[in-house]
Amino acid sequence: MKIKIKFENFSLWFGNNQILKNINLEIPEKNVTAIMGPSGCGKTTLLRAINRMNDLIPDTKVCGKVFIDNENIYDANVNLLTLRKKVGMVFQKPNPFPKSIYENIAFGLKVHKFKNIKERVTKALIDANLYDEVKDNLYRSALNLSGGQQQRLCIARAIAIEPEIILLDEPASALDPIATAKLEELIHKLKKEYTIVIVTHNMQQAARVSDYCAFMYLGELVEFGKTEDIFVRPKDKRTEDFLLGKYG
Amino acid sequence: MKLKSSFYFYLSAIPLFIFLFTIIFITFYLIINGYPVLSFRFLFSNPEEQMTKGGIFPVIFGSFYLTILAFIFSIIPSILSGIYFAYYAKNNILTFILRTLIKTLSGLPSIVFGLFGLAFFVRTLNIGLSFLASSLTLSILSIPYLITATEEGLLSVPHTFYEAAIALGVPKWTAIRKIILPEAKPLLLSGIFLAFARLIGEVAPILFTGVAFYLKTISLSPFDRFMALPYHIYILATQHEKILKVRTIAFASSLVLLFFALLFGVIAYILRMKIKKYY
Ligand SMILES: Nc1ncnc2c1ncn2[C@@H]1O[C@H](COP(=O)(O)OP(=O)(O)OP(=O)(O)O)[C@@H](O)[C@H]1O
Ligand SMILES: [Mg+2]
Repeated sequence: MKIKIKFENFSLWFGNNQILKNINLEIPEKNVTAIMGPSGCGKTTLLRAINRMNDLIPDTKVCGKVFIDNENIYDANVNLLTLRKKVGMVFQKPNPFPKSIYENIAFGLKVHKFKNIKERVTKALIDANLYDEVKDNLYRSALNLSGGQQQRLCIARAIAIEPEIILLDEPASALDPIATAKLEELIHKLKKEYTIVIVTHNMQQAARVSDYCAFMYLGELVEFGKTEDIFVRPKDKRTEDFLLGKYG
Repeated sequence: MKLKSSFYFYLSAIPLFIFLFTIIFITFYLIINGYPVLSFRFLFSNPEEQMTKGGIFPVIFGSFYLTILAFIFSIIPSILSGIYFAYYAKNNILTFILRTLIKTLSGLPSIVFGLFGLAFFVRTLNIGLSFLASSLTLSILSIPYLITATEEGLLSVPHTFYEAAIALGVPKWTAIRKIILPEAKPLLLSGIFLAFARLIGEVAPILFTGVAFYLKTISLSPFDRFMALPYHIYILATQHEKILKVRTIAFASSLVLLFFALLFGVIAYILRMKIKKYY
């Protein structure tokens, strides 16, 4: 199986705080990889290292490498716009633009000079399982959608520009069980085409949606493997404690 | 307990009432004293007989022309600088110095700007006493304020929108122009109108740079001198040889000035109310 993303001795600091400690991790293509761990252990930071969103935070320092398709994305000559087009991201809190549903998706398409914007918007909405709910209100403000619909709109916005990787940061944290089920179904569908990395607090969810699983603790990658192995036979005591709910 | 809290309520409301009363008093005072000459004709005709009769059209025209020119000169540098401070400036010593300078500038008495305008625009650049020199001086006065207003407007837009755009591979400038600026627009316009409300009443910056005591005709040329409301009021109230005769005109002019300042203030306030709550 092909490795899509590879962390090699990767460390990251915000100011003087080391947030990620010498991460080595290989994420396979067209699979769902879940990242678990207690709050504050660096899951979001690890995710944002893959599209270099941490660069927006002042005083960030990195060392080591992250490869996507064998290209080190921390090389000096990497084009960040191309990188971020290739690596889509859905944030922890739904953050649609304060524009119409249509414009939310069309914006990225226009910036990246896609043709047939209208068809692509429709396709993205269909792929994100949102089309039927919004097809009569495409020009209404996206801020009027429910939380779950907003989250799927953000997914539609991300997949519209044809990325190869999708990063999902606790996409279900604000959703009710039905919306969560819809979202998990969607993730299942998307992994046929995309490499998906999902951060989640919820172990059952990780078990349901992921093929591979990484467990982080205080900035370290403690354990990584096939999801069934991690859940059935965790090798590390800290993983086991986490799975037993000892970190709350 | 109840009694006590209502006591503090009234105590804290007293200054507000005093303030409101003062404003209402001034307005009524101006209306009562200026009313006899105030008319449509007064607003749209030229002064006559050494300004003891006729209207104040050139004066109103001058004030508006001046404010609009000042707006044209200040708006682009202010918005660009505001964007720079909100989205580009690094947290370093240079930024700190620039910010300190801007704060200092916005605290300077306006007469200092007037002297600067005389020395720099009128003399050094040899523009002469004119609309142009005065409006440039006024724009220098308003730029620090507008920069701060722009920055606040931009920062009021949730950072998550910006992050969402950046994460889509959108260039920074496009994200600011297409996502942030449209959302910040009501607040920016509000800041601009507040600046108008202040500019239209400023005397000191135009005093040595182009305002005239009396002109027979209005001129559209930016290189000509002009009349302006606040200065007109000043001369009618203190410098005119028939002070008592022109007093009513002074009151009516003050009322016009107050009206415009209030109008701009109210527009600013309405724009501010239009600001969206996102979450
Ligand atoms: N912008 C920032 N500036 C400085 N430190 C930060 C910043 N963002 C996060 N951190 C710190 O980095 C560490 C890891 O944060 P991160 O958001 O990656 O954790 P997380 O595992 O995603 O937590 P959660 O499950 O609560 O979302 C935390 O200690 C946090 O305080
Ligand atoms: Mg997080």
